[in-house]
Formats: sequence, C-alpha cells, structure tokens
Amino acid sequence: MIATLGRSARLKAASLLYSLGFFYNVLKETARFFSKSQVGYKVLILQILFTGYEALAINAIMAIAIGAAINVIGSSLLPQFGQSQLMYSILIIVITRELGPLLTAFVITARSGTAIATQLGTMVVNHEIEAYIAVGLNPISYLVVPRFIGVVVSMLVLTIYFNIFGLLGSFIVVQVIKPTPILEYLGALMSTLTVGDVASGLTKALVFGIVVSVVATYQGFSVNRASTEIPVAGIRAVGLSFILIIVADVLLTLVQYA
Amino acid sequence: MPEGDSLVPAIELRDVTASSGGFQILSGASVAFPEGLCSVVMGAAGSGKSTLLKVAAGLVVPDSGAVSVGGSDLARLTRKEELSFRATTGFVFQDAALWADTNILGNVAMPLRVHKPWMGESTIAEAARVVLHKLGYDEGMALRPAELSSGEQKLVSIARAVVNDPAVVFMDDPTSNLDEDAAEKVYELLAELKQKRRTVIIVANSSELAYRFADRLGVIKGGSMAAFGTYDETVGRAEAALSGSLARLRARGSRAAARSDGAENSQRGDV
Amino acid sequence: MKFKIKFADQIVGLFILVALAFFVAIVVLIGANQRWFAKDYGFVTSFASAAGLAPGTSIMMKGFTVGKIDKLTLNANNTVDAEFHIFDTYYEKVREYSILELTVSPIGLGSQLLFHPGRSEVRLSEGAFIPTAASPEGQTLIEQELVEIPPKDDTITRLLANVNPLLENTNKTVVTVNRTLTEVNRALAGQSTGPLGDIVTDASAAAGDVRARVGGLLDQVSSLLSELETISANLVATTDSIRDPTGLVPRLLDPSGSIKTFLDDDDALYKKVMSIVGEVDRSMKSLQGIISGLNSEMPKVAGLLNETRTAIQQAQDVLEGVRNNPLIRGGVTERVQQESLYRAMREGSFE
Repeated sequence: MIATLGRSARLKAASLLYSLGFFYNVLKETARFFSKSQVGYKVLILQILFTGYEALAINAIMAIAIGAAINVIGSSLLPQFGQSQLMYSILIIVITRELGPLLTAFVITARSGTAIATQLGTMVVNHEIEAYIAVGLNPISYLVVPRFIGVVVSMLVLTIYFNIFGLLGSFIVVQVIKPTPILEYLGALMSTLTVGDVASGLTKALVFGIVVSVVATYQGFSVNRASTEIPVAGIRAVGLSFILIIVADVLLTLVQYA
Repeated sequence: MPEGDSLVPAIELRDVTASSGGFQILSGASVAFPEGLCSVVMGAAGSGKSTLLKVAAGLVVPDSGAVSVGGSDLARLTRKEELSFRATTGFVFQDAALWADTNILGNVAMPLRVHKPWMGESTIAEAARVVLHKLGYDEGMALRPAELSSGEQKLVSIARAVVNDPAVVFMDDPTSNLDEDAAEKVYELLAELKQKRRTVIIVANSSELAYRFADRLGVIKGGSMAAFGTYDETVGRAEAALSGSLARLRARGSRAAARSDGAENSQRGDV
Repeated sequence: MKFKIKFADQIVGLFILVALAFFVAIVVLIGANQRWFAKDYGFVTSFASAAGLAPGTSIMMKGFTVGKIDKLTLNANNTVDAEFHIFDTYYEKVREYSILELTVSPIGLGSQLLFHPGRSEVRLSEGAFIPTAASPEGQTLIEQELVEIPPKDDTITRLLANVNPLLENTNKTVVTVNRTLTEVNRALAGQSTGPLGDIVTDASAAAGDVRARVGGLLDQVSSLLSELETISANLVATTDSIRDPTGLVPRLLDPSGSIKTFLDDDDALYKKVMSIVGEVDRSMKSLQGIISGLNSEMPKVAGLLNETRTAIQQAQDVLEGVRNNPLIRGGVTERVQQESLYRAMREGSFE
C-alpha cells in the first residue's frame, strides 16, 4: 500500500518534472524561433489563422451579447440606485478584466486545444514526429513553438477584439433600443478604464494562451502508438486546460486585488 | 568494391539496450555498419529490426549502451552537430510516415528546405521532382499523402530520404507494399547509391534485397545481433539457418559465383 | 487551394494589425482621458478621517473634476495627511484661501470631495497646504467669506432649497413684527411720541426695507430664532412696562390717556400685529407640512430635519406667545407633538 503510494508519488513527481522540462524547452525554442531561419513561419501563420481569425466570429458574438446585457442593465437598473456611473466599472471588470480573457481562453481551448492535441497525437501515431526528427527538424521548435506562439498571439489579439466588441459593439447594438450619445459613453468609459485594467486582461490572456498551448501540445505528444489514445489526449487537453485556466485566473485576480 | 574488416565504421552500436512502449526490444545489441557499404539486417517480425535501425539513426534513445557516429556519441551531439548529422542522413520509415498536412512535393522537398534553404524554392521543387521521377512517380505533386496508395506513399518516403543526397541512408523495409515495377525502381536507386559509395543500412525481410545489395549481412534475433559479416560469411554460418529468409538465401547458392559471371553492378545476379 | 489558405499571410496580418491599431487607440484615449501628457500641480491637505476618501478620489468643483487624491497617510497626530493634484487647466482656480470640503451624502450614497476657490488674486504655489472646510482654519475662512461656496446641488439640497424662500418670508415678517414691537415698546416707554397710527404705518413701511437674507437653512432658522428671542424679550419688556404701576402704561391706561387712543384706534395695531403673526404662522405651517412630507419619504433625512423642526417649533411657540401676549391676548396653547412619521411607523409595527 505504502509502496504503491510511494511509487505513484515518484511517478507523479517524475512526470511533473518532465512537464516542466517540456515547458522549459518550449520557452527556450521560442526564444530561438525569432532569431533563426523561419521554417515554422507557415505553420505559425496557419495556426493564427485557425486559432485567432476563425474564432473571431464566436468571440465577437459572445462579447457583444455580454456587453449589451451589461449596457441594458446599466442604463435601466443602476440609475434606480443613482449609480449609473457604476455601469462603466461593471463593463470593464466583466469584459476587460474577467470574462473577456476567460471566455476567449475557453473558446480557444475548445477549438484549438483539442485540435492541437489530436493533430499532434495523430502525428505521433503515424511516426510523422520521427520523420521530422529524421530530417533535422526539432519537433518542439517546428511543431510546438509555432502553435505556442500562434495560440498566445491569437489569445492576445482575440482578447483585444473581445474588448472592442464588448465595449463598442455592444454600445452600438444597444443604440437600437436606447440611444445614448457616443461621446458621452466613450468619455465616461475611457476615464473609468485604466491601463491597469487593460494590462490585467492582457496578462491573463498571455497566461491562458501559454497554458492552453503547452497543455495541448504536451498531451498530443503524450500519445504513444495507438490511435485510440488520440481522442483521450484531446479530452485530457481540454479538461486540464480548463482547470489550469481557472486556477491561473484565481491566482492572477488574487495577485491584482490582494 | 571495398571489402574487408579494416573499414571505418560509419555507425557503431555498442551493447545497446532499448525499449519501446514499456517492452524491452533490444538487449545488448552491438554492430558496426561500415562506411560506404550496404548493410542489410534481417530478422523475424518482432525481433527488433526497426528499433535497431531507429537507434542507429538516433530516433530512439537507448536505455543503455552507446551509438557512435564518426567517433562521437550520438546522444551527446550539440545542436549544430546533430543538424549536420541529419543533413547527411536519410531515413525511410516502414509505414512511410509522410506528413499528412503537406502535399507530396512539400514532403519530398522538406529536407532541402531545412538543410539547403539557399537553393531557392523553385530549385528545391525541381530537385524533388527529379528524385520522384527516378522512382517512377511523375503525377500528383499537389496531392496529400492520404490520397496515395501505400505503395506510392512508400516511394515518396524513399524519395524524401534521398533527395538531399545523404551519406548515410537508413531504410526500414523499403520494398514493402511495392508492386514489382516500383520495387525495380527502388533497386535501381539502391544500385545508384552503392555506386556513389553511400552508406546504406537496410532492415528488411526480403531475401531479394539482401541477395542483390548486401555487402554486409546481419541477422537479429531476440533483440541482439546473432550474426553480422560479409554476405557469404553470414549465409554460411550454421546458426543462421534459424532464419527462414536466410535459408532461402542459402538455397540461392553463393553470390561470389554469380558475380564472377560478369554481372558487374550486381543488378540481376545469376537468375 | 482555399482562398483562406492562399491569403493566410494577408488575413493574419490584417487580423493582428487591426487589433494592434485598436489597442494603441484605446491606450492613447485612456492616456488623453487620464491626463498622462498634462502637467498636474500637487498640493497637500489634512483630514480628520480618511473615511469616504481613497487615492484616486476625484476633486470636484461645480460638477467638474479638477483634480484627484494621490496619497493618504495616517500621521502621528491621528489625522490624515493627504496629497492631491489639481489639473493644469484648473490650476488658476487655486488661489489663496481655497478650501476642500468633504460632503457625505446624508442617505449613504457616497461622498464628494469639493474644491472651493478662495477670493484672492494670489495664486497658491505647488505643494501649498489647502485646509479643509471642517478644520478651524477652513471655518475661519468661510466665516470671513474668503471662500466662494456655491449652493449644494444634490437632490436633498435642492429640496431643502425650496424651503428657503418660505423661511425668508417668515424672516421678513418676524423682522417686521420685531420692529413694530420695538416701536410699540418705545412708544410705551414714552420714547416715541408720534401717533400710534404713524407707528403702524412706519411698521408696514419697514417691512419693505427688509432685505432677503442668504444662507443655509439652519442658519436661517437659527437667525429666525434669535429674532424671535428678541421679540420675546421685547414682549417681556412690554409686559413689564404694563405691570409697572409707576410706569407709563397705567398712565396710558387711563381712559383719558393716549393708550386709549392707541387701543381704540379701531384696533389698528392689534389687527396689524395679528395679521403679521397669522402670516408667520401660515409660513410655519407649510414649512412643517414640507418637513413631515420629507419625514415620510426619506426616513434618513428625518434626523437632519429634526433640528430644524425643533427650531421651528420654538419659533412657533414664541409666535404663539406673541399672538397671546397679554397686551393682545393671553396664554400659550398646548402643542400637539409632531411625531416623526418614520419612527411612529416603526414603533407601531412592534405593538
């Protein structure tokens, strides 16, 4: 019993160490990516196209819906307490600081996290990874790094778009129901919005992007030989990403408010 | 044709133990593949042929033992040394292992793009077409690997392995899944490689391949080398009779006799 | 090849560039709104408590944000040292005698930090100390009227402001009463020999002279109270002189005396006084009506208004006294207590 426990603890520690080594290698190779000849450039562009650009629509819909809801509540409910100004704070806390990065990360996990994990898993099973090694392409620098950078960049860019759609798009939508002067709205919004808010949102986006891409690539590479392991890797990538994203979110929020 | 034991080993395995998926595949395998010669290693299914080849190519890291390339340990190469090792080697996988997200031309061109990017994209594409043509593949450059038959995939993977004109070519069962015409093209390529004094290391269970091209013939059994020597030595050894393929080779008689008939480049043998 | 793959570079480039452009625009807008590029002028002040304050609290002047609190520290004397800055566009408002005022909403809706510029031509240099309205220095400046303090403009202040004209009206009336009574007293004391009819005329003319007084509600009421105190003092004097057997009054009361003329003057004085008192009383009643209305609507205001009401009640008592002065009539009638409706309701619910 104790021996089993000890053995599993040792294995866990070893696997944690291995993951950290993997993460370290990803960071190291990322630093090299920008200095050496760009074999992975095309992969990076396609990754951003898939992870970022193609997720823009769903991201925009979410942002506009949430922003519009806050706008409507803010312009009907809050004045009853004489606190109309609070609407801008709520908009910024929800869209810029909290839900923006979180929902974007969830969308990216669901779309790209699974895709990356299953794609890399398939490549392992088909010996494509070994083929890359055989021609002298480091799988981490050629396969992981473009995905890592692609997901992180997409995450950051989508978070900016989430803010644009959530703060501006929702305002435009609300105009149909309840017109308000745009200059007044923008002025109030911009004087409430601080660089701290923007930095906080982007920091979260950065961390979530790192979490999603590293977890997905790691899980993809964890496939050994059977094709049945591929969907399992996809599921594990999503589950683990969600947990780590939420944990990271809590930690980052605590750091900012504590 | 240089023969004899004074040859420089291109790749040498010393007491290599390796495992895959938790199972020990190689246990204490030692072999030195001489430079400039064609070595063929035969063995039954599951005897560890593929793992041996991958260990020799540095694709599988051995649990113990060492692999040395030109005198330096393969596991301890610097990044630069490893890149130059990859630039001078080619590997043909048993199951082709083409990159599914890249078209045929892209697959074959990749080694050139990695190692000789200064050639320019059009020259690289032309070089890839030439190699594919040599193997009898002329159409469907923009197809994806999944759209090809397994035989065509194999041909493309051979083209990918030799497009960079490597000094060492590793081949895992190069003629599997190939029809006779295609196999003949591969034989022509192997003959060309031999002529150019490239080191070719083949693991296969094809007696035809061994009979035609093996300068050195090895037999792997139970994860270690049961025999390794010149063709006639290995074929002649008693314990080698354990291998069915070897028995078939023995039945074909001595190759030295056939060669003396005047088949200079040993293309057809005496059949 | 699919369009998207073929133009992947362009699409991705545009995708990122547009986001970057928006990002830069947002940062620039924030910067412009939060005055990164403008010079600010720092000043210091001291508060009794930092409750309702925080770094970043806006300093308002007539509804405009003119500055912000930067830093609050609790010092060794248990008061709060505060550093704040005023935007360069409003720096010229920072004159000598300027003060800060922290107003806390009586019904718990946060606080406002107001800046009141001083009435001086001398500009304060950066780092100068600006007192708060609550400090003795601030009080002194306000009393000396060296500070421009505009009327408060929140809802409750506006509501109470409606009471102001009413009180002013009352004030005016009381002054008239006072004057009349003083004249009566003087007449009774024999200091004025003019006919009583003249006095009455004079009294009504005096009413026109009285100027409207400006000030806060409580000030109004307390000044009203002091006026009324003078009135009662006058009344006491009047009564005393009536009681004085050796005084003028008994003499006046002599049917042949001038008092007969005074009292038989078709009741002119009596009527005048009564009409003035009636006017005051009406004003008081409508004031009380407003207050009880406020009472029921905003329970929290009640406490604030209680003082006012008590003051008004005292005033009414005095007026009652005036009306019932022995000279005119006698006694103070018993008052029915005006309960706080809020309290009454709450107590009722537990019975």
